[in-house]
Amino acid sequence: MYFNSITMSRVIIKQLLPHTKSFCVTFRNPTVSNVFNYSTKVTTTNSNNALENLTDWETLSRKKKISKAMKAYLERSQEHDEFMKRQQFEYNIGKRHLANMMGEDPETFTQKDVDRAIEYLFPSGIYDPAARPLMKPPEEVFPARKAAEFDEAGRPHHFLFYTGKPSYFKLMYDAAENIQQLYNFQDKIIRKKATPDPNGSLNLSSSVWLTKDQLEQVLVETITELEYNNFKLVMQRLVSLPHAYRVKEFIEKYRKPLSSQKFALEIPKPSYDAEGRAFITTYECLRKKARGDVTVIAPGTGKITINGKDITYFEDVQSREQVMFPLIFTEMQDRVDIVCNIEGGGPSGQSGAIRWGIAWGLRSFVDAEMLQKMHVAGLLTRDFRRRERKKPGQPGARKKPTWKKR
Amino acid sequence: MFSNCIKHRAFIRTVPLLRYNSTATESVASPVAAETEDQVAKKQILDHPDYFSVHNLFTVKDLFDARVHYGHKEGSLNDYMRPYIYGSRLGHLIFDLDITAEHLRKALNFTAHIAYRGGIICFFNRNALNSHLVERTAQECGEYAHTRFWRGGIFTNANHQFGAVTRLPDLCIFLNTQNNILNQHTAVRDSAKMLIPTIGVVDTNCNPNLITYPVPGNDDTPTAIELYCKLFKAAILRGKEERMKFLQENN
Amino acid sequence: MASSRLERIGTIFTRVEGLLTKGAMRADDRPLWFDVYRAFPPLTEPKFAKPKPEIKPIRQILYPEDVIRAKFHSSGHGLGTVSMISQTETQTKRLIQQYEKLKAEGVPEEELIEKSAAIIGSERQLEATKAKVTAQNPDSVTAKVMADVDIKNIFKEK
Repeated sequence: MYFNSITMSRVIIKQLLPHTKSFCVTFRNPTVSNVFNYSTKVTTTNSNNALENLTDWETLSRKKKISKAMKAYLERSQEHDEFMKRQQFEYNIGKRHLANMMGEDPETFTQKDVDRAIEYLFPSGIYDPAARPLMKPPEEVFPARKAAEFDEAGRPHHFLFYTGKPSYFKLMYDAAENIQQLYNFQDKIIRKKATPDPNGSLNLSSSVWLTKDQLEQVLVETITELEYNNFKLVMQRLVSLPHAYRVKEFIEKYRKPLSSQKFALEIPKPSYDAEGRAFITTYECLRKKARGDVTVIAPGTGKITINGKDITYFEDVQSREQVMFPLIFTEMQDRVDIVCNIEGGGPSGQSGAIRWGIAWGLRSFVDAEMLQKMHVAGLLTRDFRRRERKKPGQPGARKKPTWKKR
Repeated sequence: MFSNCIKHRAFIRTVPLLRYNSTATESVASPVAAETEDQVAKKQILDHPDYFSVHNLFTVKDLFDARVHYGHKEGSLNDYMRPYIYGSRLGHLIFDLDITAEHLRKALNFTAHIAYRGGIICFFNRNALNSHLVERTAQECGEYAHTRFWRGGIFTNANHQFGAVTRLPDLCIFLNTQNNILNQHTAVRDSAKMLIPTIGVVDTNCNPNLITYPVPGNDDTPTAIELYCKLFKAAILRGKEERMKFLQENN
Repeated sequence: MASSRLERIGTIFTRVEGLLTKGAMRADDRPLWFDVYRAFPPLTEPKFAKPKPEIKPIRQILYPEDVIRAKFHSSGHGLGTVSMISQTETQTKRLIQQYEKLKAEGVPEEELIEKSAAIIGSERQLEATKAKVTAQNPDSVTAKVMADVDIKNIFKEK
């Protein structure tokens, strides 16, 4: 302890006093010089007893002090609770007022009624729904607060807390741990000259790695581009190992199934009419402002009926080509009949809607290979483009007035 | 000889001071004795030179087997590391393991005491080769690790960085004090700023000045790092064991 | 916490000590490590501003057998790869032991290098052939053939 060192110094000096020569040699020794420093310091501190009457740690710790971090957290969470209580109270009052205004029973007034009332009382032409007036319960308006990440003594719960991104780095840690385990397992297999497990395999063709945004959602942390790349590198390394199937659960947590597989399963079976012909009707064929339904009947002779007329319903060649394109592409132009009802929009919109409807209906009559081709050709993709609004201060959506220097 | 004389005179001047101090210790010693018996018993933990018996954790032979004595080449030597060097073997510096052992024991003892008091201990390492090992050690002894890129201000601007009042570590253990071969880890400086004591394995190219308990030794070789990890883990677990006993007695 | 962030002045201990003596920090709020540091101060004070230690020439670590080692290496012996995992002696060490042995026997200085290298070389080959034969089934045909084969001179015309 403090005093021990002082008594020690006295002992040393007693030994050294008789022969000065050896004293000088030992004096260069850092420990002795420290003692020298130490002793001078004591004379200054001796005047006040601040350092000598310190309560020892054991006595202090019995008082069960709560850490500063926890105290601050508790204060904040109490404040937050009070705030939320107040907001809840105000929301309830507001709901009752609304119910009275609408002449309904305030007791049975639900959130749905609130939304309806707001829409009625405050009609808004703002394009973005998020910007329109709303009244929601406070839990939905104010984001949830993080729970305390440390205990009462202020010790964080997570061992990588100080990295600032504990879940991300825990993921990297787990991946490394798994890689090491697989290495050890592989060594064991080689040493025993055992044949690998034939059932163990990892099928990754039907899924992809989570995207950066998805991973961020899983981890509840924002990560940088570099960190996401590191994640992918580590996971690819793990997957490339020969016995990666042993950590399948871990790998699959960070993979998402591909949507195209789902799409293949959803092809509807055609129904049959009175004459025994297979038909399939696609409703809601939309393109621009056109809207209609398309029925594909097989077997047929290539007869096309649009609103009771044949293909001459469209006067321009481009629209007719649009309608014929999926039939020609799949070489079904004289094997199916098409019946469609279409309304709204112009010729190009209507023909586009019919084109998508025909392609969508033909899925039930073609093989998987052709389906793949149709997919690649873009026949099965909806065209969501709509007319872009005119902007004030310019003649069109994008068109600007002619620029004149002066 | 003249300088010797000066030193001698300076020394004589200090003698009365020392005497004065020695009497002071006696006067203070009496209230200590007057304290309750329990407190005296507890005080022994700090009075005992090696309460957690960390001295038997390793021998100099263990250090040698773990290749702790290997330093870097002579050209990269930091002048402050000179006192810890035994010599140079064909251009490669070799640590004096007796000095290393002394420093390491000090560091282990300090670690055990901090663990006993429930302090937060954080392991640092910026060498990708060993970082997994270090993180695992930290997890196994219930402490913390930071082996990744150091975002500035984690200590100095903690309340902002973590979005809440945060308790900082009470001890930082650096198994490698360099960020890369040129720069020192920023956390060494930040710990000193925030009054956090540090233990650091300093190789011949590191600057030991800001490290509270430097341990001169090899900071690159996995076997050496493994040994350090094992030792610090054992020290922490011993400290925690005592802590559990203390907490049970007082509840 | 009231504290100085000037890490270059004094040490963490002296800074806390100053705050405590002047009353800027309450004694009960002192850092957890303070008492431990006081009881077990480090061997050298962790000051940033420290005078550089005296620069003495670094001692060179050399052994008497370095001379023998140099002799072997300059004539191209004992330069093979060394496995740091295996516990067996390195080739250079065996060469040196052989050298010492021969020297004690009174072999002239000029022949020592070549002779010991030859002995160690033949020993190694013996070991290699032994290992190969014993590794397999001693009764098999291969083992019998292997025992007869003179691997060293396998490509030499008879």
